[in-house]
Amino acid sequence: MAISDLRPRPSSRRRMNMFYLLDTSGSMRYKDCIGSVNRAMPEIVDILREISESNNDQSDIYMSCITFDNDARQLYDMPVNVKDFRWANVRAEGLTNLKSALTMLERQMVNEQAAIAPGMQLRPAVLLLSDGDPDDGWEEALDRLQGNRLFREAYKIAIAIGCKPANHEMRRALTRFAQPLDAGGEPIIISIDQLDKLYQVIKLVSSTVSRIGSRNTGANGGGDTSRQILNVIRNETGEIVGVNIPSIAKDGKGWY
Amino acid sequence: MPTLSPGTVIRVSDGSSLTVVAYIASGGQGEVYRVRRQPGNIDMALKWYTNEDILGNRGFRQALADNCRHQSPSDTFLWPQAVTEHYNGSYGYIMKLRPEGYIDLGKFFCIDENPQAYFRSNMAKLTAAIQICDAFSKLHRSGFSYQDINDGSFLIDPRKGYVLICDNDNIVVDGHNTGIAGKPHYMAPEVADGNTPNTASDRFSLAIILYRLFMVDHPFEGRRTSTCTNTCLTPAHELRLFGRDAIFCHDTNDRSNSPVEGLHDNSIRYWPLLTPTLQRAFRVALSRQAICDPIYRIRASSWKDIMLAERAGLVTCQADPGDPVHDFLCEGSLPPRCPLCNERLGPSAWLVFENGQRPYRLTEHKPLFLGDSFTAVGVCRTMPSHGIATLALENTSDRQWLLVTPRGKMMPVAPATRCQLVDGMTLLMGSYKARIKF
Repeated sequence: MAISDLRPRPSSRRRMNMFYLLDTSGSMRYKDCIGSVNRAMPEIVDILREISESNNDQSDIYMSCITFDNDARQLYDMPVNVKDFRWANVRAEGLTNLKSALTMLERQMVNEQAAIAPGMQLRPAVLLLSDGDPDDGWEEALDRLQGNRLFREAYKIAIAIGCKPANHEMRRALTRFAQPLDAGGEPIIISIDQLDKLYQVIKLVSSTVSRIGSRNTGANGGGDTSRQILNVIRNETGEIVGVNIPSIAKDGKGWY
Repeated sequence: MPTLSPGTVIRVSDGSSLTVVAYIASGGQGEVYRVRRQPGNIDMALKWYTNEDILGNRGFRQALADNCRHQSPSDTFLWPQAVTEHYNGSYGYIMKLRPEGYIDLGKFFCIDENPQAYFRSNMAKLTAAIQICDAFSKLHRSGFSYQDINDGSFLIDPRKGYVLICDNDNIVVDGHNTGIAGKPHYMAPEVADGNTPNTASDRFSLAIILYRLFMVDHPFEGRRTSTCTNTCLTPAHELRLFGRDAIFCHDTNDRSNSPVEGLHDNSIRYWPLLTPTLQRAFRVALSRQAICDPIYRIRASSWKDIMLAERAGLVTCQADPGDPVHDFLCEGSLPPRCPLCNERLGPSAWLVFENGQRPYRLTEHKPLFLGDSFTAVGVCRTMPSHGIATLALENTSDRQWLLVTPRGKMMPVAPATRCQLVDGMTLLMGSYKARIKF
């Protein structure tokens, strides 16, 4: 053994993956929602870096971004450590091909499961942000995704932008997406009516989920982290005008 | 985003005032700022609470104010000095700023991101262990418990091993409940079950910290924790595998959680470098019995004795006195070669004390500490004698020693001078009297 071996190796750390599914359809240009996303994302990366560093004896935060309009695109093939993540601004144009985004997410999750020992992963988080009714085909893609064990355990949060009562398909898609499945608890859906609040909400949701999720255990040892995330988001958004956490219909088919 | 901006003025309950100078860091409970205290223009650290559980807990603030009135049981604690008044619905307390050169213990576990965060010698590691045990022994003897020992509680100088203990706002009279439970992976199972933390739960966390000082890896991380699920580690898994059902990765009665190559390399590589006594102590302190029943946990004072014995037995390899220092733990007789670099080891001698203190091994480059002091009074050297390198002891203290040869001749050893060591000679060093034994 050489003298350099006195230097230890880093203690193995678990990873928490944060997956972002961001709607970049043409309607995101309205009231510059896409501008809010482009402004918020670099700041989110900084926030996640700080949270990851403050907890880096236990876990690292990894990040993946999938944008979708006519098709889905990924910024990186796999989630990357937030310290290496670089945001590239996106443009809004085209349709709302949620199906492609969900399929791409499923592929990333399958790859993650193959690459990382299951015990070395914490529950991932998936944040879906959309402003309109998705194109056909999303339901089959979501059915397949919901068969993925990692997705079933994930914290799933849907952010609806400017959702009108007539947006039945959007409500149904986001409600189905946010179903907690194996993880238990209530769906977390945030509805933003005042679009200038989008920037604030994405940052709030990102920091809350990553902070609680990367420590994996609620304050004072309490294990119900989903409820803790929902409570914090509910408290924090309660004071923001034009943002609300809708209740979910008893049949689970949509919010009101 | 820091809650307080530079220039904000906050009043302290003793009538003084603080001006925020700069944001330093944040954690689960709140934020830390550099502040300037008036009168006196003194730079201090302000811990500022943002955690709602703490802010809503009246008992916590009262316990903190009580602590400020008590004297710190040891200089190792960065003890709270005064509580602030409320400002924008929050409050905090002031303490000394951390000196330069100290690194958070948590960073020692992530050397890939903190290349300076590793002990430069086993002596530094032992110094850290002894200081930690000494501080908690004194704290517990004073009737207090820390309640939340975790990697964020310690700042360590990686070269000397000196320790500062921070986050002392949780400290309360033993048995008192402030509502603070602890950090997962360090929290005793009975605390995770909802019981009040106390000195016994401190002992559970202390054993984990001491293991990580030596091994870096977590003692409950092993095959079981990496293969416990086919999906991901959920909070429910974690509470179980690092709490009530935890299994020490070197548990001889249950091998199901042995360290895995590629994941727990430090636990594999450094375990054989511990002495059998230290291995045994960890196997007792982290046994299933000790996990489940606090009565089997090792007290801080007993840990301190174990660590002092390790310091006494430590061997410094003559091959490399540089950075990092090349030394290793050893009990009993000296091996012929250094287990680290395989160099042939030089001569060694024992100081056998008259006051019943454990014998202290001397090898070239090894500093001499008397009792439980952290200030070296001497350092072992070699000097040529008839063409052969023989051991000598240099007096690095500011007091003169007296050397008595086996024939009874007395000679002074002034500070900054050295004396050749001969079997049977006696050294008088202040109140310590020791015979040299080869």
